[in-house]
Amino acid sequence: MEGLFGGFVVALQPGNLVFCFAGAFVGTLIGVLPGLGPTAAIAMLLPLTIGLDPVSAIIMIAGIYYGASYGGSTTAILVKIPGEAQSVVTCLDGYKMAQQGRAGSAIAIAAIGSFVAGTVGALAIGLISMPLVEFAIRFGPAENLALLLLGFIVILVLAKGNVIKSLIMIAAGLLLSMVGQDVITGQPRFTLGIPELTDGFGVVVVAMGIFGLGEVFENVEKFRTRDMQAVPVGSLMPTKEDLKRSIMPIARGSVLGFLIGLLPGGGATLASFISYGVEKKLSKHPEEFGHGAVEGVAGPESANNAGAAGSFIPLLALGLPGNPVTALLLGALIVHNVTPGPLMIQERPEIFWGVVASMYVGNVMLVLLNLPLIGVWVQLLKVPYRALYAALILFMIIGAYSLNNNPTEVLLLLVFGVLGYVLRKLAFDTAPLILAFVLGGPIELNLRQTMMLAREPLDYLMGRPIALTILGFALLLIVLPMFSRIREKLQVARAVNEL
Amino acid sequence: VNASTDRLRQRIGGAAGILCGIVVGYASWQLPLGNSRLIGPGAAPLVLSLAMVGLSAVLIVRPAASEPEDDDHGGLHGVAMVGLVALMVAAFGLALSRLGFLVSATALMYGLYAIGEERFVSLKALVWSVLSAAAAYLLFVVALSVNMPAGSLWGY
Repeated sequence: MEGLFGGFVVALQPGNLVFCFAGAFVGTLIGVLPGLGPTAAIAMLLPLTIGLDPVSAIIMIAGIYYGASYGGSTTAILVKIPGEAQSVVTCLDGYKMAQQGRAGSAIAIAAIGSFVAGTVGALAIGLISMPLVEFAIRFGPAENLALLLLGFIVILVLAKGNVIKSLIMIAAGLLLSMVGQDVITGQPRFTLGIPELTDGFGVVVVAMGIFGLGEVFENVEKFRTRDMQAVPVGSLMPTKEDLKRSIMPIARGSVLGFLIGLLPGGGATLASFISYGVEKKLSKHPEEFGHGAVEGVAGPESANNAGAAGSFIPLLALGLPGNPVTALLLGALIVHNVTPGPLMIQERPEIFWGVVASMYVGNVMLVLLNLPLIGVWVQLLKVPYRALYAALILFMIIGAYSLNNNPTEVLLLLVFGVLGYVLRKLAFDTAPLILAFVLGGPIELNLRQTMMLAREPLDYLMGRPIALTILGFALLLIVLPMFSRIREKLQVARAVNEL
Repeated sequence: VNASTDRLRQRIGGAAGILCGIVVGYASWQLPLGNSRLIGPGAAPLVLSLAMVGLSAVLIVRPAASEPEDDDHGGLHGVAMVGLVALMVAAFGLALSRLGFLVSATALMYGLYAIGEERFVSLKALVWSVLSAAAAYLLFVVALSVNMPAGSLWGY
């Protein structure tokens, strides 16, 4: 816990407090806009951090993340438009509460739940990180490869929609990551003779293009049909009954969300969905779910915040992003010359613990600043998107250019923006592509190193119990859904026979 | 989106995947493939491009079931708006080094605001574009010391 206290010393420095506040504020500002969630917000606002020192930059990005998540919940409750998948569940009961004149109560419960979960998350990171890092230092290429493969399989298991389409996106992301110099021989691959491609595509340009600019393009298409009608907020004071019914869902959501966030491929979205299911199952009034049950807001909102905190652990301690948001954060860390992984805690403790402490500070700021500002956010919902999108595009362009002070980056941003837009039109989920792009380099490097070390791959693997265990777990994840599908088919066949 | 349009959309996606897979596969074939112990730079992309061709072919033959989605499409008008915005960004990227940040950003913002207003000439768009370019300059170049070009055309 000593490190965490050190982190608070860093996060509470006046300059960092200002950046944390600014991040939370502008993050909420973007997150409140319907259709824009934390991933797009980070992608769009990353340029704001370019000129900052790494610690302040990462603290500000963490603030943007929390602010955008909070803003997304507000929009989900008031206009029933989730900014990102993690707020989808909040729409179900949050909007119903709003229609019943309890919007203020729903927003306040969401804020309280997020704050409690953020606190639990920060403390848990303080407790878990060091043992995990000590364990991870023993990892070699085979263990890293096994962990990366596990991450991919979890992504596939949890992917939205069709598995084939997700696999195509993964293949495309991996191929994109292979543009540039070969990781072992240094030979140029697919650079088309363009010198700017020698180092490959930057994570930030790819993510900002596909998530940020692609999202803006999609919204530009709907200019004419985008008029929002927010319901009135009402009192922000939750009733005693609402508070009483929220205590346990908040506690459960915080713990459950954090644990789910630790899994590769887990994070805020999965945490919120599972928490909703758990609360519905445990509730004395399951029939109220979907009709304005406060537990349906308290549990998922706490879980998604705790899940977000949990997903920081694989990123910061192992250097493995488990979801698109952490993939973007990885890109941001790399831009600021910080390489996340087991050595980061030892080499750059101020960044690791500063980020962890800033999660807590950011959550306090969100509660203290955003609840009084709720009226401002509601007003923002009335500003037409056609007036805001130009500023978002300019932000992204400046960010892309400033990465290498090269206009080619602006053109690459456009190429990836168009790609993101086209993929959305063709109903492909872009998240697996970004994750594969980020993990592609490490996967190829670890695979080739493992093959170099292993004279007999099978014998080599048998001598690596950690890698073997991780691969076994990955295999289970593939086999178990198959078994349950076969069982379902058998049950259906039996039922048909009985008829 | 009706089922046949959705299937067509997925088949277009599949065809694009096959095309990309073939092009990348051919380019990978030109690189050293190595052996099982010393894997060459062409091996992984070759395997991935073959996988992409195979998976895309499956998507064409058996398109995925339709997923519920947002019906809020802008139609051809919306696509044209996106095209115009993309053109503006491309023009900005090409003109930035020569015209400098302030001039190109003002022109870009005017274009984007004008597209938003769906009017070619607009005083409001002009005022907003000047203000937003100046604000971006103050924030990024002055406050955050981001190095944006001043413009070779003006002798910088």
